[in-house]
Amino acid sequence: MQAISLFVFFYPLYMAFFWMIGSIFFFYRRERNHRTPPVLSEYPFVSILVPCHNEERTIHATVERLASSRYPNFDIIVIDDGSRDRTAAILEKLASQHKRVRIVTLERNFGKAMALRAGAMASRAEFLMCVDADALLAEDALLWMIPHFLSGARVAAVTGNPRVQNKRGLLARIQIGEFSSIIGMVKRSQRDIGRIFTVSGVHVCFRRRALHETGYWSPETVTEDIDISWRLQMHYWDIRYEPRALSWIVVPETLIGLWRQRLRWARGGIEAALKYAPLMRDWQRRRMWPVYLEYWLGAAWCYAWALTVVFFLFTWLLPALWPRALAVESVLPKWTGVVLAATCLLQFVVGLFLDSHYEKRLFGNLYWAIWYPMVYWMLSSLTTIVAIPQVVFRRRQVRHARWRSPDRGAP
Amino acid sequence: MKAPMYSRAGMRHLTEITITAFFWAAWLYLIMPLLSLLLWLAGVHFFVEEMIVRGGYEALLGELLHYGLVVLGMCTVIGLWVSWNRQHYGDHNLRVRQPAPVKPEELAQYVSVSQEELHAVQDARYLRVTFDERDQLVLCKTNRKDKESGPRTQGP
Repeated sequence: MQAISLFVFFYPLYMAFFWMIGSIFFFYRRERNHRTPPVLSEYPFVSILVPCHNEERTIHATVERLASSRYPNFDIIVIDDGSRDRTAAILEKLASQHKRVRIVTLERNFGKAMALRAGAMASRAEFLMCVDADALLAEDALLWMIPHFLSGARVAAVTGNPRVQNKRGLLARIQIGEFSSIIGMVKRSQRDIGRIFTVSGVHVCFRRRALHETGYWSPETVTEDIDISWRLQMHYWDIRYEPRALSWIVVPETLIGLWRQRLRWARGGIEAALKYAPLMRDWQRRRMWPVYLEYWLGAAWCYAWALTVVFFLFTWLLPALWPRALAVESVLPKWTGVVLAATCLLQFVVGLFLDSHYEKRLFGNLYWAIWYPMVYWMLSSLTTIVAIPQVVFRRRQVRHARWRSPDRGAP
Repeated sequence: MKAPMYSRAGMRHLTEITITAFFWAAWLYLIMPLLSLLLWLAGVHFFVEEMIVRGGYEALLGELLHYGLVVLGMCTVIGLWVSWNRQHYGDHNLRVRQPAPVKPEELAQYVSVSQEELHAVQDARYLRVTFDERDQLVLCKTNRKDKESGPRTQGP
């Protein structure tokens, strides 16, 4: 029990340092002195794919923003994946207003992966930028992303830096801290380590050659972005993270919406980890080992944390009956607690410092950051604990991963 | 009587601030040993008595040494890994030529359609498609507005 307790306390502590060190390395090597996108001799043609399903509330703003991109050579392919609301009518109007806009309508709802496939087939471009229907892409995002493909022949995908658009409510404010201090730092660190756990499906640019060699997006996974990230990297392609390519996304504002989203992410992670496990023994795939190891350690931490809390409660409630060997006397160790609390705060400050270059007044959200370790870790742990048996004991593969729009709370 | 919207929003915000303040208090509880240390420092006599004479500092020093060594080790490992990664896959990258773009015939073969059909799909501004049971793209129709808008001027 002592070993489990130590793991529960020390794993987040050392991982926090790991992410901080990695992201600071990244910042000083790749971000600090580059504030304007590189000028290219030619700008290859890019298709922006926007899969959507019942997005009448957001699709207009998304497409209008895409149409104002500063990248000179692109078209926009909106894939209406069997919408039943007014999405089709809004798209018709948008296409009549913008010559760059094309519409692909699917006869029925096939899911995001298949919608992206349809969009890819309808495009002539070698570079495919995928944007969620509720995301507002920064006007210069493509200018930051495309140079990575031209400078790196091995680059299959470039993932951007999503920022939180809806800042109302506590849950949304907590997620601002998460996107800065966790997601951004993790991606920066993983980029320097050489492999990225997942692209952000909300806005990511792909090289078609890489997608073509690996079979495009799979409809048999819950999260097509995690699956395609692993598949590309397993085929020796690289994924890069570009923190200056911004988009503004809508995050869940209700607990149930957040739970559903995180459960889906957790299931996607375990699906990929199990699916690609047999390939991990191959020495040639050793660059994926750190990501793979980190994933399983994280999953093990979730169970260890739950076990520690349960055993602590039993120790507290049944002091006479509970065996000493399984006793957890305290969940708040003395000096370790100090260091853990200080490290947590330091991680937030570093994350907010790195991302404050792209979003002003970010430090104002530091007050809400305290929720992250208190509640958010618990949510992520619980979703992982629930997701793993769901995926492991699932009877058969689901064919088309249908999607539903995120719970955005009040309009 | 229904409460005005602004007061409900204000109440909600106030509740959120209060609960968050509670969590900050919990965070402060975590660093209580450090606060105690600072308070002992304020009264130097007690500080010397508790921390130096009774050796209260030893636990902290031991833990900090432990953390410091691990963090230093991590720093070294990350630095070495990043350098090796850059040298092995950056400077000695064998794949330096840009991969050839996917040709229309490759794509047509992949989706099991003729090149003419693929061109029709890729030229249309309004398109209606479906997938068969083998996940192959099936073209339903291209909208009449293709002809009105004419061929695309952008793209390769």
